[in-house]
Amino acid sequence: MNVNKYQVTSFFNSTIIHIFLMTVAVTCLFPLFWMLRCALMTNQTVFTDKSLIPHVIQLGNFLQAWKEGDFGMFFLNSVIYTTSVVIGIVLVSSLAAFAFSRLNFPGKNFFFYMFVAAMMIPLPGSFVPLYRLMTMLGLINTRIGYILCMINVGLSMSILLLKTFFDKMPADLEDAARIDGCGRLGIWWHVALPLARPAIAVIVIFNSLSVWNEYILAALLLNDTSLMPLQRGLMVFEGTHSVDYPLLMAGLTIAAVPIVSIYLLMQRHIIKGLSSGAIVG
Amino acid sequence: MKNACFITLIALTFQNALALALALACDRKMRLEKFYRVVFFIPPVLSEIVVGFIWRWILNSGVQDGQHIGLLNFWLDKIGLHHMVHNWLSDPKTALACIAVVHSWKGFGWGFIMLLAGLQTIDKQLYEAAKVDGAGGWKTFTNVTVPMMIPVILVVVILTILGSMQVFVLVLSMVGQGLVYHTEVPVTRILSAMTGTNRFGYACAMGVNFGLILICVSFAFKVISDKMKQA
Repeated sequence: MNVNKYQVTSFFNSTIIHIFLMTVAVTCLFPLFWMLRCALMTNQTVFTDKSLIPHVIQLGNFLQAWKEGDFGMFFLNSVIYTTSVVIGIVLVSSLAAFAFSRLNFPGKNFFFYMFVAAMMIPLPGSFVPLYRLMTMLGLINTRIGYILCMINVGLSMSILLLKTFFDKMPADLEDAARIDGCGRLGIWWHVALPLARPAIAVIVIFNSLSVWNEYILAALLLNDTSLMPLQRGLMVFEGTHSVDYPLLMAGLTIAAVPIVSIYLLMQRHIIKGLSSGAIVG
Repeated sequence: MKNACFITLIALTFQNALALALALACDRKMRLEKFYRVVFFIPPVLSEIVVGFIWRWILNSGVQDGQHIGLLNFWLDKIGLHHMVHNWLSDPKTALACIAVVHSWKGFGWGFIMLLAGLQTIDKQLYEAAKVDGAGGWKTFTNVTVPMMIPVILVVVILTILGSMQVFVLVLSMVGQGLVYHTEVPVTRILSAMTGTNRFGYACAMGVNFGLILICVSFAFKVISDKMKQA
């Protein structure tokens, strides 16, 4: 045995650190586990059975929530909103950022700073004007109205991110494309977009997260149950089935599973994007 | 406003202290580091509605067949802390604190990831130099780590303030539709003036005030961080 004092203390230290980290990790995961566990129980056992693994496992809640709780519809709505908003944001912000970075037109800086300033205004400050505007345009309670609002919410950040990216793109590439006969749109499509793929990945991930989890605007703009996204639907569901906890937990699981699985698949990009954001900021 | 400030205060101190401690603990070569990093960021990717409902269920204060429905009360009862059993979310004294803690639970992952990224950009030679100069663990932390981290810390602080002041969905999903005075935050005020009583002008004025306050806060922080960068 040649264990010296240094090894003992370092082993002791790392054990303490691991215990600390493990505790926090367990508190992170446990509520999710509890949700899943309760989703598998019946309405009778959920109130009395407090063991970690339920004695009677019942998978019917998911089916019931999907059908009776209309979660299928809410889910579909959320998918529609998320995909169309993300596509919209990528298209508009990449075109706008390209213009801000590469073209010269009067008022360019003014418009750019307008976009950046819009990022400073917190959403609650614009509830009323937004609501009035949507009512006047006849877009309240429509899919397209909600999608347009959400595109607008994510736009400033994406433009800022993409503009800094395009600014770093060498002008030679653009010249080469022009010699090969590309127009401006051609340069945008064939040169700028493929090069900006990492930045676009960050934009896609973060906007999908935020649209999928969005609640306030959906509550403000959509009254029709058939138009509601998942988060809003959960609230409605809770209002009508407030005592049926297993069903509610099954609904929560349905809402949480896609986003958690996307996160687990893409976590490397997400963490990289966040970290770079922190260092730039 | 006071309630939102309270939540912000808790989030600022508790959440960011936790995030910093975790980031410091993770900033070294060790097993499971990646696992921790992935796990700590799971609460932030969940939606506020999901988080709110799960915690509401855990903090539930109902009793059925002589047993507590909510998990927290059940466990408190089990380990013999009967006097701690509580109506967590309907008692004015604890409701706001519960919301603040859950908000921190959801939010510390952001701070953790950013602080960890900041820690990893610090040049390792600085630590070695400090060691050669005879600085202990705490001295190294206050004299090397903190000064190097100030820009990142400022970003985290400002994001925490802005995020916590606008907390709303969590309140709604944890306390429910019948918003009671002691958990009211600015955003619920604005919305209830709008949809509840149709006072659009009043709601709009509150919204503008609220927005202006937040913009002032962010500008103040911008100025502070510029000053600190010069120094």
